Amino acid sequence: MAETKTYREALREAMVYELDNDENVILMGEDIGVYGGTHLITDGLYDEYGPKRIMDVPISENGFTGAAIGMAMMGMRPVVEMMTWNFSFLAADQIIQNAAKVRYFSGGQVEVPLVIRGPNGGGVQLSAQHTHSLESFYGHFPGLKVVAPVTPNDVKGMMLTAIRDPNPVIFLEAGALYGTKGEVEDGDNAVPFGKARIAREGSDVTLVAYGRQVNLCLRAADTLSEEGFEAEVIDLRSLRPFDEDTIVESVEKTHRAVAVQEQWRWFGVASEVAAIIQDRAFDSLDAPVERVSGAEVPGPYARNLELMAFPSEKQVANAARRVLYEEEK
Amino acid sequence: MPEVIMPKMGDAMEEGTLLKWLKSEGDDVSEGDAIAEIETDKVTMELEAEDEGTLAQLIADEGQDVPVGEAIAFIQGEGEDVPERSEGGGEAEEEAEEGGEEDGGGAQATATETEETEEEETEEEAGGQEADGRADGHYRASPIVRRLAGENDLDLAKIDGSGPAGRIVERDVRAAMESGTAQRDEDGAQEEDVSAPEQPQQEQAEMQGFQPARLPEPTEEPGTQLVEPTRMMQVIGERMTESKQHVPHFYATVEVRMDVAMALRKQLNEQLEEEGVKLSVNDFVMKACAVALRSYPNLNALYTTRGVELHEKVDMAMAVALDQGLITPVIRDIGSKGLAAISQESKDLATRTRDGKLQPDEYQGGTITVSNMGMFGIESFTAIINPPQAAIVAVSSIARRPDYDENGEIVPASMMKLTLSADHRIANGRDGAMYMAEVKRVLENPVMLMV
Repeated sequence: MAETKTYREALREAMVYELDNDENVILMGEDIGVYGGTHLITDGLYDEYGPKRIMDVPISENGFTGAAIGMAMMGMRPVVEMMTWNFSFLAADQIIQNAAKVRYFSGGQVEVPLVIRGPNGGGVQLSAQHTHSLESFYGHFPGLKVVAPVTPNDVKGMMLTAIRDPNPVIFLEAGALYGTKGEVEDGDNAVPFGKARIAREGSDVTLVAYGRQVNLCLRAADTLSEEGFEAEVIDLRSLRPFDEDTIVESVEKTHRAVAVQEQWRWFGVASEVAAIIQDRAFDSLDAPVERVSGAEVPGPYARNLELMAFPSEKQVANAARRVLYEEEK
Repeated sequence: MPEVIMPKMGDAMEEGTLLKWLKSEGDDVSEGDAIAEIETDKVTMELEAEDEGTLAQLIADEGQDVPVGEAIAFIQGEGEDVPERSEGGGEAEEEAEEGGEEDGGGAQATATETEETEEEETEEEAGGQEADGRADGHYRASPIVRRLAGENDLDLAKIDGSGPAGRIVERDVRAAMESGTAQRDEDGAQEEDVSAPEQPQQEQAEMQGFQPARLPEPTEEPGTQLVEPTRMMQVIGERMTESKQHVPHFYATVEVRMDVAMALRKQLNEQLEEEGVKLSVNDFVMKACAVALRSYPNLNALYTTRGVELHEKVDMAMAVALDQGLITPVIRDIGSKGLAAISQESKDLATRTRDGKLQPDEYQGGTITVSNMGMFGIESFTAIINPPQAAIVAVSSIARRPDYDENGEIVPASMMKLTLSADHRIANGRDGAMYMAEVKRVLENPVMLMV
């Protein structure tokens, strides 16, 4: 059975599912309890589960993240909300120095079953300090898992997997899409990490993305279809672990690829995608892998500039046309 | 009227490929408008207009390689006329070349003229080749194209690339596979009739200026024999073709009166007989060429990726003929060596060259070359520059003939012609002429060889 739900509802449903399922699961974050959460993800849960399981915390990211790591080391399964991922810079020391490394330091004796979640990326006019896509930042460190689901069904399924995972998971939500709707499977629909989703099948060019750029690629694919080219759209959804095989198999079929990311071009996921393709599918390539990325500026506030700073459907379609050796439009 | 020229986008850049016009003839352009895409061996860039006006004339074609500094278009300002320009790219190049010859002198200009008419043809053809990105037999082709060509036994030479800079892309190969026009020739293929489908493909290849397709098939008639080039002949052929096509040669000939040098040689050889030394005329010429370089060092140079590299020491390469080719062993720092040492070393190198006992470092890295055909009674000849060197001196035979002495009396004289071939990118006509005059002066006053 499946029902249409918003991204927000699906996310909440997964946490409720695990709150009911496992008494070690607790939620922590600024204003997530009495207030119901800045983004209303946890709305109503405080009344149902009480202050011991839905914990409001002081505005002290490094402090409460450290506390959550300690709880996780002792066997709890805390789910920490970053009001936005931009605030996690304050907690980066705890996340990178402790959460990512305790299991390694202890020779596997101590696990950190911790989830840190919150909205990632820009697109809602929050300006430079509140507009970051942190997947390559956190994806860089061994010891962390990094996922970025874009559909309501995946956000539920991947949150279930994240809470059950014995390792720290960086859960990057598509903040601009909390209100979007989609079919969500009932019950336990756990989505495994490290397995990409083919969002659209095609034969002529592979568009690789994750997060809200997947929707951009799907729209570009429709445009390309009108021109006679069928694009295959791959939603990576899990960035660490990373599903190389799905990309390689797709490029072996299409011979052309475009990697799309909202974050800045340098040192980004798209570069990794391009490197993997040339490494494992070189003899299948008909054109250099194109990357479409955000403009190399701090996130602008003004709506018109913000739109220009992020990849557009037109940019993606033109990149696809270039690898198809077709005229740009 | 402002000319749009091929910009220099890096020190080593000699030419750029005009990938694509972004504006058309007749378009209005403002300063800063991207008008074309230019590709060098390193980058692809947009070329921006530096003036405002109407793009009046596109001189270069898409895919054409254009030397740095040459006009590729004109931007017409208000009230300005479009200059008359000839159509052919080859002629445009010629104009530019002559314009660049500032102090070449009249004699110099006539010396190069005949050469240029010869080169025009080859340049046009070369232009065609490079437009396809397949000069010297290299193809631009995507990895999948190379794989498909291998799997399906296709000859990429027969496929026209539709991608940037003539890159052969998958759709080109698929089209060729469907039409069946790109199968690799088998050895037995010539027995088949020249059938209909092969004809257009041959024409196509010829239009692209691709060399192998332009050569005729052997006639195999009675009385003919097919000799395949040896590896050495292939290398010589490639290098000489490359040099003649890409190095702008100019020539300067002097006639040297050799009587004094011959007398000195005879005298020295008598003195040195017991030591087993026998100086040759070539030893004198090589030494004289080295001595003269002290005054004109810019001919002792290599044309490199980042400019002209002048060398202090003269490492002189000498051409040694073999039955199946030619090698140029090098006498290192010949300027510091005496005639006897040069004589011994050149004999040793020549002997070991013919015996095939030369080490690679003995025939690599010369800075100038001397080629002597005097022993064959040659009156005069010109040699092809051995890149990246700046120059080569061709030495002809000494002939006894009447000459005038200071008093206007006819006297017998021993005359020898020396012809310099020099790279016009490195030296101008005046440099070459003055250098050859110095060589002549040294040889006619051979005591100069002792200092």
